[in-house]
Amino acid sequence: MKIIKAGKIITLKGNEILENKYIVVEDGIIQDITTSKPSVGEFIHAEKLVVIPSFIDPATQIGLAEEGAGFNYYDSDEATSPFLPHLRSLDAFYPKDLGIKDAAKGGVSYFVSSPGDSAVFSGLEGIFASKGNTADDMVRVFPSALKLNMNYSSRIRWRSEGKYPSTKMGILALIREKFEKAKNYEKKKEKEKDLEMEALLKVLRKEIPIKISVNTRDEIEKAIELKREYDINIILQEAEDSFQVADLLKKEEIPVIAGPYFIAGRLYHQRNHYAKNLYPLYEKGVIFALTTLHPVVPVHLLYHQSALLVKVGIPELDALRSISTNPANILSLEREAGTIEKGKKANLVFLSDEPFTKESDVVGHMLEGEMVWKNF
Amino acid sequence: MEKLLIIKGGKIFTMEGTPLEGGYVVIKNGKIEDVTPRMEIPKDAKVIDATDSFIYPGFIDIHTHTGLWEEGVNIEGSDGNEATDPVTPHVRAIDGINFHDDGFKEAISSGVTTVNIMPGSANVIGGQGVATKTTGEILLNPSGIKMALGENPKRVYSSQKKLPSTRLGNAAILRKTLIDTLNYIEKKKKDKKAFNFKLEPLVGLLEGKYPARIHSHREDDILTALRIMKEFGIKFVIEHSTEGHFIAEILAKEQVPCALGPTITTRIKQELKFRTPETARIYEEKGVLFAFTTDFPVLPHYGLFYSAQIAVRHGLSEEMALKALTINGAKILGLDHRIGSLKKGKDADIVITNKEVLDPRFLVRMTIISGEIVYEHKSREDLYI
Repeated sequence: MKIIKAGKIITLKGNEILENKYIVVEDGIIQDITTSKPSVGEFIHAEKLVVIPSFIDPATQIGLAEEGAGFNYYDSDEATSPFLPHLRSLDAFYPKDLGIKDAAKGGVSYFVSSPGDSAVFSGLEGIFASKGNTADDMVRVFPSALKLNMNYSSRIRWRSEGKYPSTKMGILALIREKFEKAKNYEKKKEKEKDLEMEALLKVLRKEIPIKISVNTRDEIEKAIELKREYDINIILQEAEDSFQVADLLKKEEIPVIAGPYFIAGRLYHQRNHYAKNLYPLYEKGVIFALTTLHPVVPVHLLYHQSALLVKVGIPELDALRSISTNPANILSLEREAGTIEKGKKANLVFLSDEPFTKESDVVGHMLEGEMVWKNF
Repeated sequence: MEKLLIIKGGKIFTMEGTPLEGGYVVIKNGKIEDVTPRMEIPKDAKVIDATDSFIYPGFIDIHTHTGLWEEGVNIEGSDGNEATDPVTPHVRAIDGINFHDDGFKEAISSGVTTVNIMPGSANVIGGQGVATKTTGEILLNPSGIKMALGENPKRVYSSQKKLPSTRLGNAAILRKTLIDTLNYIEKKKKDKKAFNFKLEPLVGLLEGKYPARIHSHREDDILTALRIMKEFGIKFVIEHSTEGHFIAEILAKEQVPCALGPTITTRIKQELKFRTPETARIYEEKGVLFAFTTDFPVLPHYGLFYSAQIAVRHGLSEEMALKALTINGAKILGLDHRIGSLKKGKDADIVITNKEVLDPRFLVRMTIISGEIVYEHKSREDLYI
């Protein structure tokens, strides 16, 4: 049993803030949060620290785009066909990628690792924890979603090769053609197993959502059409223009994975790519989470990135929710992660001071009850 | 006579000794007339009340591509690398910059008032840089000759099946071009009509009029730069210096200044494998002169402050962090007589913020460049965040 003596706990359960409490952890789970001192156990002294829920990055290529090895070792983008729904990020996941240690040190407990970016259907993604020795130790949910790319970078890739689909029309035609084929496949009584169709069926049966990268407003609207037409669950990613359709996203209860923001060099279709454009989503109550899209931005900067939300006027607790509670909800992990509550996993970040102050840094990280980073 | 503009502080970080708690910065004709703890305010002076704010000299980024790689524009606005020939000392950044680009607006609203804009690192000798205010007021042209060692020239020219495709090739091209220039200088002595448009900018380099600014990440590349520059007696700056922490004592002893950064990127290339947020602290300990850089558009200009904030969390002193955002950059550009601190006679480049810039939540309230108010934060809409 581990007992954390915490000076301050920001649970992110509403606006709850607890002071001078003991967090009792056993079997990786928060067993209790109490005022009375438990008698036995291994004590972790965090009296001077602020404890918050640990972070979750819902869209990375960690383990696939290996850091420090050079471009030839990138294994994330199987850019040889636009239709590859049966690829699985788990099969290429390199557990010694430098980014995983960075995630642990940066307070990121879970991250999604996703095949990208060229194929329209680029494969199945999964949720991984930033501890363990092998991919199988680290994977928590697989598959967690099917990745679909309706954005500029996908169609421009096929256009440069003179291949179908090279336009928005082509992309939508391919998507519908494949979904119709999957519906027919499902109806067949005697069938040979088809891995591509099986991947699509998971989406049509709502076993997993489809995560769609889009940029512009019209692409967002087309993604919503697909949701209605096929009665599927969708998550939008990138979606730079989502502030223009915030009401619609709220009405349809479609979450958005936004970012990353520590970059410039926007292309034309990314011209609205600013953190200030998340304010309308916050205002209208659309659920959104920040991502680093690691390796675009290093995963351990997720917390620093959330400070940008404070700069643009989003309250500090909601900025913290955008990297913990909200991604937990989007990834259907809300029963086990995203807040500090009895019965949830002991996924905690220890800050040296109040969030976002000059002195505040991630000095500790507990992942499922184990201290994976401790510098206090 | 022009009216005085007076900023009433506030905590004033002059970068000339300890900050003033309260006091006045007096501006006249675009210059700093005085920085004083107390004064009588003339009746006709314009006063900016910044009593609850923080006042800094304009921030400096000594390695950017602002306006060369335009924001929100694709290939049409991509003018950073003339990647058709590994030796292009005759091309000038100033000729490719779109000064109306949003990158400058982002810089100004982030408090960055001076940038040193250079060609990219595709070529071993990439061309001439320019130091400019972010309003487009040119400070130095050329500010130096951009050079590059390591992976980038190798990658670009091996794909074109041309020299250089190795680090050996990078060094050979650099050395050969400098020898060609020495030969050209000798030829000019004998033949007054001799003129080589391509080599002419390197004559100024060899004469010490401006430095070489050499992109190098890895320790071996930094030392190759040092070896060749010493051979030819050329002043130089190491750009990026990602592995500089391994050889900080050498950099200090040889008095090699470094543009450090971008420090908060992923190690996407092999030559970035040993990037660490500790480098700034080690430079401070060993006495290396350095300034932070964003390499915009690799990071936005506001990434300068996150780089400094993260370095402070890894042991860099706050005082040195602020120097590496202001006066150190001015020194490395050779412009510390004009910019980099709040001192009588220097340009009135001043940034007023709501919190200290080492606080991740800070916002710029006002940016003043050469005495003119060029940005005033009014609402979320005017942010480029």
